[in-house]
Amino acid sequence: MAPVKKSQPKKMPFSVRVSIFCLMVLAVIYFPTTVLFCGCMLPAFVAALVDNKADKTAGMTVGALNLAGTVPAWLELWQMGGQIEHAVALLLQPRTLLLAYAAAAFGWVIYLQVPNMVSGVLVKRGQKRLLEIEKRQQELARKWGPQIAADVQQAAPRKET
Amino acid sequence: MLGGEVEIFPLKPLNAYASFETRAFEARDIKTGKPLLALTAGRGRCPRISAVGSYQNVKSAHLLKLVSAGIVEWPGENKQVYTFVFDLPPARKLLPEGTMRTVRIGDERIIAALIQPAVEVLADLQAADLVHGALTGDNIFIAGAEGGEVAIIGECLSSAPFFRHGAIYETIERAMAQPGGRGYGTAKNDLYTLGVCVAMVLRGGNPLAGKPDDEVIREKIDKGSYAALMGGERLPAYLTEFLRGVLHDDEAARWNLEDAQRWLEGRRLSAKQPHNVMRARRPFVFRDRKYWELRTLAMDLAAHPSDTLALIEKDGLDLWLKRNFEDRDLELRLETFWKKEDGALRERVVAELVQALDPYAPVRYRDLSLFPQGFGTALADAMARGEDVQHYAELISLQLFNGWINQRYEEIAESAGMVTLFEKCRNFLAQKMPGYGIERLVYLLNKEIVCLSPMLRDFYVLGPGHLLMALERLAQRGQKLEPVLDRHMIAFISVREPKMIDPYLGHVISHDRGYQVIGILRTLAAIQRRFRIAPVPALTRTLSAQMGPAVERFFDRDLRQAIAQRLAAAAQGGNLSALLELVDAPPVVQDDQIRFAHARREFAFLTRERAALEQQLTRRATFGLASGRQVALLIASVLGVASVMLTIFHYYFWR
Repeated sequence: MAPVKKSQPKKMPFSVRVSIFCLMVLAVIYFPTTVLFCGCMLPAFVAALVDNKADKTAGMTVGALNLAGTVPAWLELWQMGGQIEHAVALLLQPRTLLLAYAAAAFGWVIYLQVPNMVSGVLVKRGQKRLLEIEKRQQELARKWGPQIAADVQQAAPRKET
Repeated sequence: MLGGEVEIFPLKPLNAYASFETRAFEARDIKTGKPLLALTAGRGRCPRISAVGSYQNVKSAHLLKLVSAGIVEWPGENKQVYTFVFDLPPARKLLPEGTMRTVRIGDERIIAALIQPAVEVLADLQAADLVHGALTGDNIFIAGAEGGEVAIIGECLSSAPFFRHGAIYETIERAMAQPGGRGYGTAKNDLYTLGVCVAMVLRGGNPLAGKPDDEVIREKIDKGSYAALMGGERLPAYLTEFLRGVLHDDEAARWNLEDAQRWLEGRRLSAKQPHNVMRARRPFVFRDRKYWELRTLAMDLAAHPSDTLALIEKDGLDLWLKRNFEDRDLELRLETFWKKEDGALRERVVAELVQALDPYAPVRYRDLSLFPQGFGTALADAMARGEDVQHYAELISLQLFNGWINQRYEEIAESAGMVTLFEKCRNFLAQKMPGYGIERLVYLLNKEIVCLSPMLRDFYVLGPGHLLMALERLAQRGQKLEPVLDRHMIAFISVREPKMIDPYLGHVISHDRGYQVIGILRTLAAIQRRFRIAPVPALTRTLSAQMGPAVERFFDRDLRQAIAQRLAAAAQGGNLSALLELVDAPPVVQDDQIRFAHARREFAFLTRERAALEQQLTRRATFGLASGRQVALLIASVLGVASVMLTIFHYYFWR
């Protein structure tokens, strides 16, 4: 029996590793900002964690608006001096979290509703295209006779590139 | 009417001048009112149409004058007949039909009355590169009162030369051949016939009358032609010299025209000795009959093939031949025969044996007896009569003519050409497709034969132009023309005008009706152009009605419909090229094919797209969600960026 090959864990590309390293350095340097973002961007992290779809867009979708809701607090932090106590104070203000989380919630709404709407549009468009194809094929068959369909396999290109 | 000059009276037959499938009628010169004789030629008898011009140029007072010739629409029968119109000959014939007595001409008058006129006519014909080939007793007319008789030689155009001769008028070898199979012949053969006529006159009638052909031949072989015809009759020396000269049984020793002319001038030629025939010391018995020499034996062996085959299996014949004939050539021929005999077809064995015994006799195979030069005429005759021509085909396939020629290769002037011709014939026979086969041989070997297609029985079709006009007439009569060109017509056109049909032969013989109709139309249009034939509306309509499969060759149905509509209009004009242009214009055909190829690809592509779409739509619940999430991400990103920008702007500038 052939030995079962163990699947190797995916190796992270070097550029990603460098970027993470830089981010960690920045997070340490700007620690108060890091604390503020960690508190406000919690919904985005959760969205990223719970997303089981292959394309993993939930975190990004929620995160984009979550970030928009966090930026005012971040600007205020910088206005206040950018110290850690300022960050904690801001985090403890309900207005800060409310704004960040409300924006994240809006992100969730977009994430959950827009795909259904797009899907509906695409289905409609597909059905319309099917009707168009059928009509065109009928027209071709009428003009050229049943022979046109007899050798579909031969006439079709071997492989679409 | 013939040529606007002659009026023919079909209801006034002149049976006294009719003979050998040739019908005779009263006719009249329209201008002068002079009575004339119209003779209609039989289709299969190969009338000598190409010799008409040369015959007309022969200005001899002793040859029946040709006034006019051409194709006549015969009233009442609704058919075309080739008709020759001659001066009305004198009423008296040298040997009237149904009688055994000839016109009496004394010994002292016979040269002036018969021999001199006939030799003059033969010399004039030879100068025009013609032989007469019909110098029989019933075709020589006697003009003038008793004591002043003079012969008028009858016509020789209404059948192939020597076709109408009975066995008595022919040399021994040629008499053995069937009438159509004797070949073209020479002036020597005409002189022989003249000698027979002179002998008849001198004896007061036909000395061999009432005897069957093979008895006539047998008597000539036994006694020699001169003795068989003259019996013990005593003649003046000068007449004996003439008759021995022209009736000599050895072809090489027989007088030619120059010898006869010298004799007429009064020069005495060396006396001809009778031809010596090899005779056996002891007779050979076959079917209770004793044979002393080989020619009669060969004749009877050929006539009884089953007995001959039984004879071959015994040694009797071989032994008799070895013991009785010391002839090196015969030995060689027999050696060759015994070598080839093993395992050969029974009829072939008989044919080759009799050929070895008598190499000067015609090729005798089953019921056929033919010289190579006469094969074409005999085949045409058989075909015109609707006889089975299978044996003719076998004769060529078995290469019996080539064997005959090879035995006398040095003696026959055109032997190499003949061998090549028959080899070509064999190759044509081997090909079974229309345009080839036995039909092609008929037209290849007979330059003047009409098209023998059963459809054209009522027409006299001498060339592709005539053929097109005959088809138009058939179409006018409403006759079903399917197929328009049959095997005979295809072979006829292919031999007479190869350029008219050979480039399209593949189409013409195609099993695909569309291609076939196109091929036929191409051929007929080419003929119409080449011979500048007037419009043929009836034929065009018939062909137009048959164009369905040709129109269906186009893939584009709209185009088909448009062409079908235009066909109806084009059919009225009678121009075959216009019809052809509609269904066979190369750019249109090519464009149709290219567009069809594109359409096929498009159809295939749509089929694949449709299958993919249908498959996606079966998963309607998830269809488009991934794209939707991308869209959602995009919207969220745009909104996020916009709101960050607004926040920053508000924070720094509006606050």
